[in-house]
Amino acid sequence: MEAKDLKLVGRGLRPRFDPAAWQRASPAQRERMARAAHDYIRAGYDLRPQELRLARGQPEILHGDFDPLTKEVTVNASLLRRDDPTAVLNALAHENRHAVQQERVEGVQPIPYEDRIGKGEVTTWTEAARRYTRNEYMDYHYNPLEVDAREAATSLVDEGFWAEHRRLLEERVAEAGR
Amino acid sequence: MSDASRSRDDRLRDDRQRLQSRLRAAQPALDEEEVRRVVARVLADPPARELAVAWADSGEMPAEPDVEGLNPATLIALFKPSVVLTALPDLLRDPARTLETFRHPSPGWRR
Repeated sequence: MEAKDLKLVGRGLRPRFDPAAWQRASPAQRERMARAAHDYIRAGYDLRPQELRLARGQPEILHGDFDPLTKEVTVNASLLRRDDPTAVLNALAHENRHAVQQERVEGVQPIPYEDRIGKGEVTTWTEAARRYTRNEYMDYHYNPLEVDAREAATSLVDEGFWAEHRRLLEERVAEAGR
Repeated sequence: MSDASRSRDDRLRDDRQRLQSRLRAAQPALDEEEVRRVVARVLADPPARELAVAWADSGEMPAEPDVEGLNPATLIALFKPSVVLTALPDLLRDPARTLETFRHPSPGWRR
């Protein structure tokens, strides 16, 4: 149910974030675009504004993280060097989703569709937060908090942002054909 | 018990011992229960078992399957052996999806 809302956030991001402009942008311009996308995604997630932290000198495999203590979202600055913005948008959508999870677990943010789906998901997240493991892959990969963050990023970026991008391109092609 | 199944059991016991021994040496902070659980998970998956046993013998992971420069060898340089070993079954089946999880890792996974 919430996937539709996340797709809408992704669709709304597209007019504000042009992939062609990203390709042409200087490093400083890309940083501004990434920060603006972060702000927009946070607003779409009903999160208060909080500055994006860019981590420099990290291994490229690490795309981002969310610190539950400071509530800070960090993204690897090396992602800004990629001409395809998918990875940076995906990291922003994924890590900010962890901020949403924490706010719902702590009762800071209302649970959407609570009248229809109840508090089941948040109860699952609360239990999942206690089960985060440090030494094994499987338990973390299938932890409901991680599954939800990956799904949120897919809805927002693949099914929202890029779907809207394709729609705009088709519209432009149709206009050019007239 | 037939000779074939006895031989299979002997091989499995031997693989388990070598892998447990290598894992204990590589990651001394793991407790015995974790060592046993990690090794049992890897041995239950034949393709993953083959890579894991090769790592136990040589101390090296292969560079395949590789997605955008990420593979078992690059992963084990950065993440705990227990994490990479338990990821091997998924990594061999669906490398792209598995590597997505390593891009957003648990804070405790780094070496």
